[in-house]
Amino acid sequence: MKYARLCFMLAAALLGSGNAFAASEIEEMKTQVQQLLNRIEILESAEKARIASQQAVVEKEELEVANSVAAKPVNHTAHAVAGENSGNPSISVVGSFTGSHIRGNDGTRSSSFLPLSEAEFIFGANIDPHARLDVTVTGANGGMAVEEGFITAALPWGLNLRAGRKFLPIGRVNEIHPHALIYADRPNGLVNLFGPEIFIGDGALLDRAFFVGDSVQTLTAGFFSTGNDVAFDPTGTSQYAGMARWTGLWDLSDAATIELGGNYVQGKNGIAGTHAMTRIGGGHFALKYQDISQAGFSLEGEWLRRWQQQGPGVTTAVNDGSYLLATAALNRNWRLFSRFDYSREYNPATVVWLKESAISAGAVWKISEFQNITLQYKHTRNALTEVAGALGVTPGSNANAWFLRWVVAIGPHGTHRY
Amino acid sequence: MKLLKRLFLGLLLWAMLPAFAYAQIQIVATLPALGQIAAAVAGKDGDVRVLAQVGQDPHFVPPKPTLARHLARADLLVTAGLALESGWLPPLIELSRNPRVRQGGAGYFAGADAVTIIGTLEKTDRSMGDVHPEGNPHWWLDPIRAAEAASALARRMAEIDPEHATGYRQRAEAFSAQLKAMVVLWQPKLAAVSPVVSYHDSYRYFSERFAIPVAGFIEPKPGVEPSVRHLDDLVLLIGKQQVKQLWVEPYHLGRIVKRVATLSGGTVVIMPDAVQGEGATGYLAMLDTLLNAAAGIRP
Repeated sequence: MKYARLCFMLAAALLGSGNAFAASEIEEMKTQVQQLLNRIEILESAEKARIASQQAVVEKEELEVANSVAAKPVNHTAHAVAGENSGNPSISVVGSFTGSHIRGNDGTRSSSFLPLSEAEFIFGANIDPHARLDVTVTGANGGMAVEEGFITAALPWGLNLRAGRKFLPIGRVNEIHPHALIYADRPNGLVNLFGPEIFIGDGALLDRAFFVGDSVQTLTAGFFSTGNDVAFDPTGTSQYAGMARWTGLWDLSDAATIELGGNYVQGKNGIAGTHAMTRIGGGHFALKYQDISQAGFSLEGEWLRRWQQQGPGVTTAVNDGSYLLATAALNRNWRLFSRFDYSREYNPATVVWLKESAISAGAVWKISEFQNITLQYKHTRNALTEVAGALGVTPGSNANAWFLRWVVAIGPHGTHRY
Repeated sequence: MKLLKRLFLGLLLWAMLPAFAYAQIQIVATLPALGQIAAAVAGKDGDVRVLAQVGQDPHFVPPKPTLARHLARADLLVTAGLALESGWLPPLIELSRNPRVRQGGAGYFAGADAVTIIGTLEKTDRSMGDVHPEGNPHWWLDPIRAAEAASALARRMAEIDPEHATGYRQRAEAFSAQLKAMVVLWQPKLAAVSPVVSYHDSYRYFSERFAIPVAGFIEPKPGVEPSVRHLDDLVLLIGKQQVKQLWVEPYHLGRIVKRVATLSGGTVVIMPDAVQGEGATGYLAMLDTLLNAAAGIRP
């Protein structure tokens, strides 16, 4: 009995001490868990604070930029100003001051020093969502005339319509306004074919560009009337003609392209009141290279032949006009060029070909996008009738000419073609 | 008969070709960095073509008519805006005969419309040089603005191609997060950078974002070649303000910059506005190049 009592007391003592040990351990564990929770909480708040501070930095920067913009009023004002003028056409004026010194071997000479030889007033704007109007009024030799004025409309199937008065897209140069050419004169070949003025037509031209592989092929067809008195009626009466043209441009590399093209024009020329026709055909090419520093070179040329029927029983007059132009862009501001002109004219009376050639060289200083100065020298041999008239020398003579041209543009002038 | 069949089959295949070719949204970007931002957002759902080359002056890209072939089939045109591309982009858009990418069309996107612009001018004329009255157009050199433009691009892409809207949004968000992290990482590193002189005012957004002071410009006015007198004054200024770096765009690197560096003792640092690379990787590589260069860390 004593033994049993002793065992009971021992068991009770042992159990009691075990329970006491377990309770203290649980308390300890509870404390540790609480400490861990506290630590997690601290870490979480630290992380939250860090993210908040990062956001604050970014927001502060953005706010600073926003404030700096707010201090400079005018992003929206500028839009508003543009909006006030949005109904008006863009207007630009291009002035060409071209001086020349010409001396012929027939003893003639003439000179002028930077007269305002031509002023172009260019207006352009969208008429509505479907069409645009561009008008160029040119003042030259004391008179004003609408040199170009045409509507451009985008038609279905990628067709582009230009209707009105336009420099005709024959060859490479005729369509380009003189101030945009690198040289100060017109190539003699074109002067012999069309006279000293640009070949202009009143009518409609349709063109369509086809993107074939890496190239762009453009087909143009048109019908127009022209008062050109050299290629068509010498009396200047208006004559109707049609034209077709193809140009193709290929990328040779990122920096180089080659362009090839061909043209054909045909229409009654009104000579002698008969059905005599004038036909003009020819081709052109342009090889261009320009690196990213805007240095580069180009080689381009065109050749055109004109067949001008003179009436029944009279031999057709044939004229060739051509040029070959090389240019070198030294950098953004300086360019050099050299051009060779060649023309020939079949004289039915003497049954011989009269030949004319000219060589030019010059330099262009492009002061800015809107101002450049060209100095050019040209030597012409055996000037044909039209070139002789333009130079003020007698036909068949040689001439040395110096040109100094200063071109300036004000207003939102459009991009020149590539 | 066989010839006719082949011809018919050929024509049929040719007619079907566009359907296969244009499964992705067709995107054209004017500048390489814009193309990279667009590609980062478009991912596999878009095909991005770029008109200008890396290293080319964005003001003077030759308007080769062959570039218009990309625009002809574009669903979306991404431009910098603020007339940066006005000297060469309009004739290409016109030649493309694609009404979607004309200004105001659903596919015309100017990044400048999506970001806060700085450098706006109330009254301008050309005596001030080639200024952009509506603001400085070089916004894509600021990572935060690039992120804003990416978000706006994602929204525009979603309008054009709603089927992949989620993808555009998610990619734009991921790209933005990368850019914001880059800003947070680099701002402290560039806090004590000395003032710099740059050739053109191309880096205004970048320098303002990272608080880098710009002491002056080699161009006396935007787009105007410096005179000897201006360069003399600039050399004095460089000495006075302890300018260490002369920042120059790759297309402006020439004898003028080298001469200024020789006379002033400054270091010429080429700061590209784009580097080669695809999508986000390419754009981040450009930022990395700029940031390392600004910090004086040589690659």
